[in-house]
Amino acid sequence: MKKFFITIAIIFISSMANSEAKANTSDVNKAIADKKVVRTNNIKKIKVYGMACPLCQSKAETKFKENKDVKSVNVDMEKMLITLNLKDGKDISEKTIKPIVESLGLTFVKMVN
Amino acid sequence: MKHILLIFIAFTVPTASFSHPSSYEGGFDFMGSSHLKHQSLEFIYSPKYWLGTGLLLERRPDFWESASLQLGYLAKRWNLPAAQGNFYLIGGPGYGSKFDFNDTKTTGLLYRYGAQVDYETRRIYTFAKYTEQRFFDGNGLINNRLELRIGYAPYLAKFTELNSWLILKTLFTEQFEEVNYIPTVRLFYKNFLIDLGVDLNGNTQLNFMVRH
Repeated sequence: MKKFFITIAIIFISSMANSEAKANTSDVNKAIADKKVVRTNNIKKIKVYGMACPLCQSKAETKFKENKDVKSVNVDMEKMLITLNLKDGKDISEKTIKPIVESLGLTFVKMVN
Repeated sequence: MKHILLIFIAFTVPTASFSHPSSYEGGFDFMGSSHLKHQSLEFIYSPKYWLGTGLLLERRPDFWESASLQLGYLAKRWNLPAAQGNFYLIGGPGYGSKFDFNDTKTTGLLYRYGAQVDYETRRIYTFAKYTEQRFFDGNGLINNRLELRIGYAPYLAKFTELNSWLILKTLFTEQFEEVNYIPTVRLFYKNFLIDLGVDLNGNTQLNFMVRH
């Protein structure tokens, strides 16, 4: 029993330290990415409700990447935003986006400028 | 067929399912759980995010065992800013056995039904689930079970990182005559989840889930 709790404690502490370190790095990357986002017009930002777990992030990325006009997907759980980086010359309408969001079991709130 | 199913249960690691009765559209979940008093394996396929179908094998050694088809229906979902609440209805037919105190064994077709509610944010997790299994032919209750959970995430992590939760599970079984408190650590990484818990009698509980 004692060894069990010691093992669990070690796993916990390690994962917390790893997450903190990566969070700092991702903040920097995000700041760089945001600047890139501002410069391009091939971006669609979608506000959604219901994203409460990391798997939501993964499923949203996978589902939107299936669309042939989408180059990359970024999910911001804190801001509740799904950002689609579209291929050059391509567009995706709200009419297309909304059913995809709903098929994930999430709620489409609005497109964000 | 019955013996094959029961043997399969006997050699698997288990107990009660702990996931959502339905997953993401096209999603497939494989779950297992093990505790001294309850063991189970569950397979769920979700053709829609609001509907799960599958098979549940479960038992309490020396008390009862069953194999049942599972339907999980998402009756209501509340999608809130960075939070989600769900209400599910669960049920399905099956086949099982019950062992009475005088070693009499009753076997037959059964039906399983229940409901589940949960509410979670990225930090807080709450869950309540009630299920019953009864024989079709009026031979009575096989088992019932109420499970409550409350959990807390000590840190936030992305999908590609190790996510951890501290959860307290409370199980009421056998017509609510038994109560088990199981402090649990939940670790999940990408599509893999594992719960490690120990009840107040020192019995361990191990749950796992693979989601695709």
